[in-house]
Amino acid sequence: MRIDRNSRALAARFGRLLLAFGLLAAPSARAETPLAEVGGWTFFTDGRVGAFASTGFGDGFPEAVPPPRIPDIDPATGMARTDATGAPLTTDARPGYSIYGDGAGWTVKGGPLENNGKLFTMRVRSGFVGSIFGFGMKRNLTETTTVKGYVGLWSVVEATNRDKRATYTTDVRQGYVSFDGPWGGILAGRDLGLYGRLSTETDFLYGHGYGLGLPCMDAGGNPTCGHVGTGVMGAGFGAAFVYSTPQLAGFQLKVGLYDPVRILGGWDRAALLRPEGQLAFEKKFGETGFVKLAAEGIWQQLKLGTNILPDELAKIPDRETSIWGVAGGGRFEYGPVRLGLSGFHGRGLGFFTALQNDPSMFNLVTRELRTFTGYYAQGALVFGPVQLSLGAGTASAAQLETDKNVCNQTLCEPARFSALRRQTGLSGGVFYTVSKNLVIGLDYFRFMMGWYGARNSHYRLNAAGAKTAYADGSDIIDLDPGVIKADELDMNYVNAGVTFHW
Amino acid sequence: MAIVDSLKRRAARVGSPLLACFLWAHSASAEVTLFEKNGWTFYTKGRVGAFVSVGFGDDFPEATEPLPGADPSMPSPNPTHFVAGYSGNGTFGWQSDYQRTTTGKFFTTRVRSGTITNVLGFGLKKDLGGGATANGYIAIWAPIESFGRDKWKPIDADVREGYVGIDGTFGTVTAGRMWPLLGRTSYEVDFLYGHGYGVGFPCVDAQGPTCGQVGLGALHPGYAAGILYTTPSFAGLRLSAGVFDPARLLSAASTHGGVPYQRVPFLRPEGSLTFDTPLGATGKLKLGAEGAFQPVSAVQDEDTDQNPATEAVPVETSKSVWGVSGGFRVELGPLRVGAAGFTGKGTGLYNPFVASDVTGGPAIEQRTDPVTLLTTNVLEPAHAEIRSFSGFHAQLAGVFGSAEVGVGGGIGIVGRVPSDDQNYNLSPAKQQIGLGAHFNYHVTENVVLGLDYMRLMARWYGAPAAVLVNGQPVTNGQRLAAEKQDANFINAGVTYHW
Repeated sequence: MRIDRNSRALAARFGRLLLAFGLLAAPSARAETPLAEVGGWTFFTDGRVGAFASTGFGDGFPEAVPPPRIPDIDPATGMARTDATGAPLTTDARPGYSIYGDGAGWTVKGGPLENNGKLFTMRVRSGFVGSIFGFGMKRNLTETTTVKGYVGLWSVVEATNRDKRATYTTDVRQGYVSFDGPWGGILAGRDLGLYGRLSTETDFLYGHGYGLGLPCMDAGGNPTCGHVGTGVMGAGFGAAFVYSTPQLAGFQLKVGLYDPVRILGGWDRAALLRPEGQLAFEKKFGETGFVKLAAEGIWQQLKLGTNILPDELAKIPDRETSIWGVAGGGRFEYGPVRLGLSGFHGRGLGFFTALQNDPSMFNLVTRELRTFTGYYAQGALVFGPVQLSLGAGTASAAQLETDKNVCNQTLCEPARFSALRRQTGLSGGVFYTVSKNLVIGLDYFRFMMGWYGARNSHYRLNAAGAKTAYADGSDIIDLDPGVIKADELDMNYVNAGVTFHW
Repeated sequence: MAIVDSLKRRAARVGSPLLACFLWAHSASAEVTLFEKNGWTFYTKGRVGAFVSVGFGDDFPEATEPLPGADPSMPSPNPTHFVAGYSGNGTFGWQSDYQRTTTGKFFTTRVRSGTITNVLGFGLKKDLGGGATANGYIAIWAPIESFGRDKWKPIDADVREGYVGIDGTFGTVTAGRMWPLLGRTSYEVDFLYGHGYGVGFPCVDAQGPTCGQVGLGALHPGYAAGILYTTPSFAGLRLSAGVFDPARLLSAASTHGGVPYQRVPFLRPEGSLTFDTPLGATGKLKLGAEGAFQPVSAVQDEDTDQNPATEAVPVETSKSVWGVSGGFRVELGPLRVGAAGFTGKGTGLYNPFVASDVTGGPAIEQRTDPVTLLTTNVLEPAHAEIRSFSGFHAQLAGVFGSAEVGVGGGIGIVGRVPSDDQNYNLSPAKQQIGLGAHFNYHVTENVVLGLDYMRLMARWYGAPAAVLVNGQPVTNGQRLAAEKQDANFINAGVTYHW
């Protein structure tokens, strides 16, 4: 029952993660195309449409190892229990456990796509950036200050869950007013976040801007992840007020206050706006050289909701916590060479984007936030219209003490749960720019997941071999050294498609 | 200004409510022509904006304690009750989205859209000849804040408007999705002199758009598919009449409230009469009155003979909902004054004919037990009585150059149904009052900074007190302590419109 409950909880949370994956993508190609200039107004558009054939093959979702069986001894009599025929009954020697991600759409555990523990899938889908229709209106406020209103409508080409009848929704990811002048810029509205922007930008520019990378969700319905989740911290989108300083000797500071985010099922109260910031340095050198360095930060206070049952509340040590993260890196261009390096570290971030709302972020019982770290390197060589890209990255989650060593009357997660340890990605791609607005892409992505594995454990038995129990009737579990199995999953994706952008 | 005034007149003729609303809101709020080719005119209208919104005060009230039992040291055995509006925001009172503290209070900060979300509108006009013009318009609305503070929720595009208008000497025919008529004057007053560039009451914490004064005395027409005819102006007098897609009145009906009326076979007629005239060089007077009517019913299988041995038979319970609204607004020099009211059955306090637990209460019916022949009063949600609703609000503003300062207030009143005196399951809604103030600064024709404050004061009647007698709850003619809620919202932000 515990496993079932955990599985359902995870599956439910993955419903949200399904949405999350799609929302991480990079900014669209920002080439504003003026459509009309009248009465001081400039009406412009930007956008893109594209489609990719994506083939995935590799491992299905790992199966939990079933508990060994032992004779079922009645503790009251010390005698073996028997069935109606008199045959002795058996019982589990240890609790069952669930594996993080069990039931997630990208693994399709037990689903029709899995065959003998292997997956093979083909789809036609959108890539790292979906189809976008963006419209904006600009005009001068003063001689030196402009105001721009912009709304970006995002969608994808594939049907969610391969359901041909599914209705396509439009996600208005961007909608803001911005003011720009010699004093800097202010943006008010919904746009890409600041934290994780450099690594997202690097992936977009040198990696998967015209590719697909890691699909994230097999079910589709959202743009894919590129390298996000495997070392890239996706910036995500949010409502905010952001101020950007003018560039001073190449330095620019951006600070923003963002609409706070709940961690659903974990930390529901988020009363204060979330500050995010980025300090960047940019410099061009020579005829083709360019360097950009950036450091980013994020913080958000979180409190427990008041909707938690007393039994659950008793297992939660803290009533208040915070998510925080630092990130940074740089990208470098010289001649045909493009190179980007980035990393992130922080508490409660998640693998894919900050505050991603999925159960990898926290212990489901104690609500303690896990700490995440990621590294990413992306290179590219540009020869005329051809770009060759190579990338690698990894993101990992540190185990909490309650994930690995704590087992008592109220909680024993180490025996019941195999937490996700690492997601690693290796990628390569060839992109051919047919014209300024048309790009053909072929990319490969190898996705490697690793779990910590549930701890070895056993039900404590009395001298007669019967299970012992706490006063409340729950079985006593003892942890043993080592883990049952540190599961792994390797998948490969080959993607080819075309992007038209303006 | 001549162009703008022309556009204003055109907007009025077209009968495009939002267009009119925008145009009258501020001179700059006009459509921008992008192309003119072969008799076609392609234009855009829209706005984007963002506000920091801080809220604090009482969260939605817990039900007050039932009467104590015989042993006050033990939990009371007497019946507890629901508090009207429990089913969610936009009904009555205000519920924070999981931000409740252990003491029943809340403190929230958000970055969100205001009363009008981001809007991207495109239209195409064609001269049909003979003085007639066709105008097709589609507007996509979308807030900036994620639903429920969930960063990963997509922002769904809401195509609130999509219509064609045929405008000529005969008047205007508009067909499509648009503002209906009931509540137009009420909302127009709020939009123009109150919260057109603000937030006001963020009636749904999870996601906007916000309500301004709506729900607190002002009525918003909502959006609906319809066919509308508007006469030409006769000395400022204009009649509009239309039929709109019917709205079913359905929310889970129980002894805690709600209505089951989802059979709505007929289109809903709505009408308005407006009078619009200039006052001097810069003044203006507008009067408006609106009305709407819709029959509703529910067909449910019922045990009409109170005999469990016989089969239930389908029974249709018929009701009707209706509403009238009206008001005025005056502009004289820097002064802007508007006041409006509404009353009706089933209108609710926010958008007409949107059902919730507050919309109705169970009917009281007498039942005779076929065995004992004893007659008792029972609460029958299947035949729920629909409540009446009334509201009134007034807005006063002064425009001094680029600055506008204003105050406003209103009250929304919920009517009682006969069962309210006996239904110990429910504390009925009584009234919610909103008092607000705003300051807008027009940086340019198209950029407006806004700062506003709104105080919400919601009051309930209190549930009829009941005690257990022989295991059955019996009311004793008293009421439990009435619930109340006071909350405050301070909002500041910017709007860019074209």
